[in-house]
Amino acid sequence: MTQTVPVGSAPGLTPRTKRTPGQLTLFILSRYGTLIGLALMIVLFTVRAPSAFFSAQNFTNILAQGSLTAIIAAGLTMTLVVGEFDLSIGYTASFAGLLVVGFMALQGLPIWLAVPLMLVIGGIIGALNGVLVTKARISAVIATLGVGTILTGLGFAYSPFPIVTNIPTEFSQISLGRLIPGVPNSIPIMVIVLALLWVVLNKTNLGIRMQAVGGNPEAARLSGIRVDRVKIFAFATAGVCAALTGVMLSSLLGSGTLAAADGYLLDAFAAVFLGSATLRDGEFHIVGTLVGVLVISVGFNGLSIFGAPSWAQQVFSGGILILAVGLATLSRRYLKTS
Amino acid sequence: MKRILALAAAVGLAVGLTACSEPAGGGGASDDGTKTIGVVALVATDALNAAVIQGVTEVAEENGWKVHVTDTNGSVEAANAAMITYSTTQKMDAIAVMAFQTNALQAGLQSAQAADIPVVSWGGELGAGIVATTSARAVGQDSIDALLDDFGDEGAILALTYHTGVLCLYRGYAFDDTVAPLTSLNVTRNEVAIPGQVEDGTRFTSAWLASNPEGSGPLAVWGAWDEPAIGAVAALQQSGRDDVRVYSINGGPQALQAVKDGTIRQVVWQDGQTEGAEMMQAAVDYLAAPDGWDQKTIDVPGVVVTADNIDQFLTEHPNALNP
Repeated sequence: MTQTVPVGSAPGLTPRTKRTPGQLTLFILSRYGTLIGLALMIVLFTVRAPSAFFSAQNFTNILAQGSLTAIIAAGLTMTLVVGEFDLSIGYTASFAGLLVVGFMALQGLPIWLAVPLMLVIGGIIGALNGVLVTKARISAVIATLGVGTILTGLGFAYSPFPIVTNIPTEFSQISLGRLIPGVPNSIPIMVIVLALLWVVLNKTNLGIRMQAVGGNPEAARLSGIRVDRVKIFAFATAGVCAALTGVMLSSLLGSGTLAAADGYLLDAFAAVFLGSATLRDGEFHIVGTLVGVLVISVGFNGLSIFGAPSWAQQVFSGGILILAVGLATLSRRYLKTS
Repeated sequence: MKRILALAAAVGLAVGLTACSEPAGGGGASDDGTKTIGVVALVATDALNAAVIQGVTEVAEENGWKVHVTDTNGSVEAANAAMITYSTTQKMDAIAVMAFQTNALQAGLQSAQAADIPVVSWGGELGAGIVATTSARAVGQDSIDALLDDFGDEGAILALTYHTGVLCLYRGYAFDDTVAPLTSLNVTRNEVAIPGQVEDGTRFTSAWLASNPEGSGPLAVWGAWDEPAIGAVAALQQSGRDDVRVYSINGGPQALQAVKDGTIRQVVWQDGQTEGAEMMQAAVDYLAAPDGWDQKTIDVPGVVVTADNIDQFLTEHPNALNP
């Protein structure tokens, strides 16, 4: 016997009914709260500091600052889409930043070889995380934290001091060059990476399988999806993105330094979870992650321009995360029960 | 597959434990009389920390000592725990603690005193149980004095500070006390976080640049240590600005290279290796003659490095760029 499902609905979901104004407000908050918050911040900062905040140069700076966070966070999004965690991304980025410079300065590799090699190594590190989680059945938190800590140790063994000499001058052009006049290369690189991952997640069979695995791994397995392979791919992608972030950071700094990118871990998580409260019902997705990065970057930039004390910026970062994700969660819960 | 992985993990663990474990009696004074110093590092991956550890190690090895390092990653709790372990379990012959405030190490110091183990400090205050320390404030004062000589006392300065680490705390005090009476200096202070010090340096500088556009007056960034200053340089390069002078302290390879490249105006080079060596020597000297020992502060002066003297400096310190 076949069941008739209303158009625009799915089994298990109630058909759309007319919402009350309160429900509509909650719906808008749950879907668009983060975007509204971002828009309000931009308006507020523009009104309060029009010349300093609302300028093409400042927006370029915000995007350039956020580009590295966006790339590493986009990779993290892939692992969260399949229902896993990756705490090694910051350490992988630091390790990659040190190693890529070492490849050129100490081992004498040319840029064209050193950079792709580092991205491959990043992918291998990510795949190792995936194997530990899927095959050895180690919790993702433990496995990725362990791998990250090992990378810090290996980096320290490789070079406890920053590597600053014998680096090809062209290396800095990866981040600081301007193929598009006035726009640092880090911005178009970010756009390309995010667009690529968006296509993979939304327009390919692999992306659909990833979302299926994240939604219900057992159901995905029963439907013939090779869950472990899909997860390993997600981890490997996160590893490549983290390595790329490290390479770009080293290019920006003109040197390879141990632990330079460790701080990106928390920013990436904040951005991805902020993004999960954007446009979709608590799902991780690339556009949301970009919005999350922008919220953090714009907030940080605006508060700094106002000369807000450092504690206020920390309170803002934590507060906006709790507010956006919390409001969206509460709104969805209330909508379901009302 | 699972069995193979489980076997591999077991073998790896066994090999790792075998490689990491020390022979019986190791850690502290061993059966052959070899002494050991336990180093409690603030951030062992930081270049200046590494230089201090290098200095400690050189003198330790000269005197036939072993060196054991614990990285606390900036955690004062971990520092106290490491000192207690060094005192009670590993029974070190001396402890070197790096860049923590002495009054935050009471538990560790009491444990060391109870075990009669001398403690030398890098940058912390003299206190009960500490036989020698290095001066944390001197290079901060050197830096701000040199900055004012070069920059003048008018304009806007972005200070990238870090009050959790005792070295940067005292450098910050020196900065604050010196600029306080200079009302024509507009100082913006931002506290950077660890980890994330480079990233914060870049972000704070980028936002500060938006408030201080080109032509708005003499502009400078003062980094309490190299890494935020390097982040500031990145922000300047990203935004294509060359009207801001950057000043820093530590003089790690990155900062020295930046002085050479002209992106950092001036850096006060702190001779961490010599400080580490002096700390270790103080521990050795104390143990040789503990009676009548007077607590002492070791003052190793910093060197102001600029574009004018960088070549000379690198000639005199050939390993400064490649330690």
